[in-house]
Amino acid sequence: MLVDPETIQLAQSGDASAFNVIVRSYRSRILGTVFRLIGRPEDVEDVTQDVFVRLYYSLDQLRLPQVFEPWLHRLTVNTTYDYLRKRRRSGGVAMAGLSEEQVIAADAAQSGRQHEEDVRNDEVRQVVGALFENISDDDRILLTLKEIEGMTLKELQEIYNVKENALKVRLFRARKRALKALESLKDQGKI
Amino acid sequence: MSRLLEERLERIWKLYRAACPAPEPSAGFMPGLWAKIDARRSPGWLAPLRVWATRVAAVAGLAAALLVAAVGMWQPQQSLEVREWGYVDVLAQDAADQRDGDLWLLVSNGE
Repeated sequence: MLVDPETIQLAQSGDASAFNVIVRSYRSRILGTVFRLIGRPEDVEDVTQDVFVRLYYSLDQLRLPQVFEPWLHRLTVNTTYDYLRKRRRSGGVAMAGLSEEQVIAADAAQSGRQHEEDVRNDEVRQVVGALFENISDDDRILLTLKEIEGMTLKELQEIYNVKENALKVRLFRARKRALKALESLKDQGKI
Repeated sequence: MSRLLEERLERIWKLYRAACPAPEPSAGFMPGLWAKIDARRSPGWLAPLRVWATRVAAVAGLAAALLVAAVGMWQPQQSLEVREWGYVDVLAQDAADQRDGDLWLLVSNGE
């Protein structure tokens, strides 16, 4: 844990400076997780703030400070779900994201300011974005946590509150659907 | 699924992880966060309004309770009166009215 249980207890009792310590300790980690979950740099900070707003208003519900981290990850997952759902509802997610990235990349290439590595990273994010648009939000989040965040089965069990076997089945199915989506994108010549 | 495809997916995950490093929080991260937290709290002007509404609701509840009690105290007397006014009494009153009516007719006809 990045903070001690006493700090969490202080924050639970309404100590704003203790809450700030928690935010400062975890924000880089959550920013990274949110970035990889949503894939849109322009929304990362906003969604991360929403995670911590949820944390602030639900901290009193945490009974054991020892389980703070999986609990924070669960809040991150839930906030991301809401964000993705809202984005899907607003429609044209993939295309909007893609064209924006393309505009940025084209603009950067034209002005010659962006490095080659940044352009390659944009391309990778576009590919993964297209892949994620062809699977469910559930699969997207689960696969991101496992394959990209590198979480262990035990950590995922704590976040999802399911048994190991059930989790393995979910992961297996999610991976199959991702492979199918990848194959479909390949057939369409999108990757 | 082909082995090649699986390997490709693995490679994509790896590249994606490198393509999405944790961004540095901006200078406005903490102030923005607290602004969001404060925005979710009830606004300042709403607090006295809420107190006032609570008091009005309490007074209204008390008035309703008093009204119910008053009605409860008044109703038994009325029902007692009704109970005392029995069927025989009604018949007797009716007969008396009838007699009065007959008398009035006799008087008005000058008999």
